[in-house]
Amino acid sequence: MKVLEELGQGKSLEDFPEIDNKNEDWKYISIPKDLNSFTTSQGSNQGSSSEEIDVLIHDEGIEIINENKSFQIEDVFEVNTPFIEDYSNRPIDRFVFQQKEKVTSGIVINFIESSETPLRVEIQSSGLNVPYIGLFADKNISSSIELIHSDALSGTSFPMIDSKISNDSHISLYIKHDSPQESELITSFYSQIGKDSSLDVKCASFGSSLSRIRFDIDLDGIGSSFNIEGVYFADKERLIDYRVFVNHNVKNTSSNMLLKGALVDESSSVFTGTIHIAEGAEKTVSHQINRNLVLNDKAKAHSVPNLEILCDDVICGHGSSVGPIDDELFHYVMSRGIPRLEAEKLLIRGFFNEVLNKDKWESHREEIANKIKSRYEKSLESKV
Amino acid sequence: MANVDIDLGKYSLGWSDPEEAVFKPEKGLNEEIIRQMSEIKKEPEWMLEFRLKAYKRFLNKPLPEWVAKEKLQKLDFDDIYYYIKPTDEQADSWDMVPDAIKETYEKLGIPEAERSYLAGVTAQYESEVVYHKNREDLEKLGVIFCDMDTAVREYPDLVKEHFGTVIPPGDNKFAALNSAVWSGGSFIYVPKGVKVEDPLQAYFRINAENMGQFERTLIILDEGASVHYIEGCSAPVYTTDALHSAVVEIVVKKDATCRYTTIQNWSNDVYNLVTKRAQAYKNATMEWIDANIGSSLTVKYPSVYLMEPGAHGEVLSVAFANTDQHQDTGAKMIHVAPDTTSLITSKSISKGGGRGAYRGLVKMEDGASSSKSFVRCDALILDADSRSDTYPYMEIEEDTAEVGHEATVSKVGEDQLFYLMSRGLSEEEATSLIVAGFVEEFTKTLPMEYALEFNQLIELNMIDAGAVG
Repeated sequence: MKVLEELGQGKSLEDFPEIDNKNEDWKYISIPKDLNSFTTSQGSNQGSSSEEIDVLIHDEGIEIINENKSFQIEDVFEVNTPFIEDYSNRPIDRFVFQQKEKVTSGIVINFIESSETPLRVEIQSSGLNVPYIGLFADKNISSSIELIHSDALSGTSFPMIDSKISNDSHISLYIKHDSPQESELITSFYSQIGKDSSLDVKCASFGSSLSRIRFDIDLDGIGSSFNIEGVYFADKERLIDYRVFVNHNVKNTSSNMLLKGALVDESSSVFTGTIHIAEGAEKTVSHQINRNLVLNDKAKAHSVPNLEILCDDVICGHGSSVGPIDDELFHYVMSRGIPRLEAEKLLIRGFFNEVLNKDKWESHREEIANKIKSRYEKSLESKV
Repeated sequence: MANVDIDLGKYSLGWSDPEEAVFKPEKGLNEEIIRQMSEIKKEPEWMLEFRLKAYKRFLNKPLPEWVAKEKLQKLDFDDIYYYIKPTDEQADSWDMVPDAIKETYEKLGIPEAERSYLAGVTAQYESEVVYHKNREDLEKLGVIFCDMDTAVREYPDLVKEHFGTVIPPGDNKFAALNSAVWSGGSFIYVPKGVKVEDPLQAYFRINAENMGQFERTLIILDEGASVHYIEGCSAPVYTTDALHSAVVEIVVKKDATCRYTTIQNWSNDVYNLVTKRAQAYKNATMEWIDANIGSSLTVKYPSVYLMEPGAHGEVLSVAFANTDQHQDTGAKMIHVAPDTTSLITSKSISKGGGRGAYRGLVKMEDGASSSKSFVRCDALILDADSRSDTYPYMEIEEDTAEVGHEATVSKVGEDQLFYLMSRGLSEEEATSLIVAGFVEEFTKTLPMEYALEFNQLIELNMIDAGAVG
């Protein structure tokens, strides 16, 4: 595969140490037993979707359902020139190396012109697949992509997403993940963001038994920015794991992170991330916030928001919290005659509204808020 | 403001006196040296066994990989003296202390400090305590304040009950090393209901080149007791690496309060790798107040295990990382019981290419219901070459526990500088003043003499690096 030829060139699997919980990047999760040497497989593929989808990626390959002239979509195996010239900054471990070697199908999306309608891509799996998605935006493009993982992701999927956004391009990406409990999803996301360009990510995750996404972002151009907002709600024994590594490599870059999640039943969440501000990256502005509501005594949350700052003229702050709903808030709502259970539902909604009430969430707001509500109610029923 | 008149060629608290050690074994470590050391100290059999077991653990433990890997790999364990006995007899009055050692202390201002308020002095010079005096009324109250070696001999039951229980020898490589070769340090026991009003104090010094100092401190507060212990360190400037690897264990029983203040001012070649841990029981309070200045590498995360309901832990730490220095400091709070609370405040300053890092852990074990913890980290970066890192781990396994973390990183504000400079201060003076303000939360907790000394150390660091840069 030409696209990823440069990545980990001249290396073999043995060059990478085995992945275990001692490794900081894989801490806090139970690592699937075959992860250190996995084999892709095909399941009985459904090939249809409950959503309106433009492109479908599944065990057997890709299907383009709706053509959209704003996006040029190529089969990854037919692309001859890599759109990322230099992969040298990209961290690579045993997992990423295997992903690169074992891509099962995939596409490269070239953004040709600005578009208000998003391109919707769904990843399905009933065996074990490694889909590849490349996003390439150059020259004044403003566009958006939606990436859906739904019921049809019933097996295991290890998507690999690369993106290069440069020359005053602005891409927004919405990732929704709501799959059956037995499924597993581990995504590696890498992006290079060039001069005056931005990547804006929205995530809504209800998880699989293991749902992990790792973002590695290189802010390489002056004036570039990365923004990620997300909500997650985990129930049963699901685990939702976000790793967000943002490298501010040049001056005048910005990043913003706001991730809010609630946990019920025996679920758990992990958030770790590092804002790295390189030497000479002055005038960087960066904020990182992670808030967790733990609603059940069997649920667990781990939050490790790291900062590495190698120059002085920056604005950088982070905050994180883990805990139940504040008693004072309960008191306030209940003193107005609302019973405790209703009050709790209201306060959970309010907790997520800090994210969902923003304009850019408009088209997803109701769907996500209702989903959270119904998941929460289900968890209450199961307790009774 | 008057200009500070300092000779930059000398480091006022970093000098070295000619060595006058009585017994000096070979460099490096083996079982024989440990046996010899234990015999000279006339230790009971159980302590020798403890040391030998710990030595095996030390050999088997790998070096930590997650912190300052390059600096740690430079550490040559075979190039260190593990035990030096400085004088034949232990002195019980100031007059009996040998002149060379006395001079060292006079430069540190100990006699002065003693006259004013000290309750007792345990001054560590090289490996063994050479000077030690308890105020009589403390003895009457039943407070024991002596060096650790004496305690092993005179209070074997008390020591044996607690020694190595808070920090087991296998905890980490450096705790294992300390357990094998420890020498000196303080032992404090405060009986039930006794409140020691004046702070107890000890000074530690390293004086022999390539000399490891492995002091071991154990503090036990019985129910309802309280004490404030101050540990101050100041080391001579040497060119080769010296290792300081202490272990401090504290047991704070029901309703007791302990405050442990450290001001460390190591010279630039010292590796300061310290394990400090306390256990706080019902309604007890444990406070670590910790200032780290100097050293090549400091790795230190004072921790509190909150064992029973109502226990409270606090860490207030200040780190100043100057040229070629790496301060990896922080705190750990392990909430085991319900209704426990903790607070971590960390202030770090990096200058002249120094690296200041906060690394901390707040852990809420399953069952630590309604417990609360808050962590606040502020970092000040004084120039473009310096670095500041924040690694706050939060592991929550309890739904009713609340944990919060906030951090800010900034440089000295232009507006603040402008304000002070428009009032006639030079930029250097204005920056010093702003830095002093930044750490005021810390200096406020210190007795007057210490606050003055600390501000002076900060000022020295500011000017020192200015001259280098």
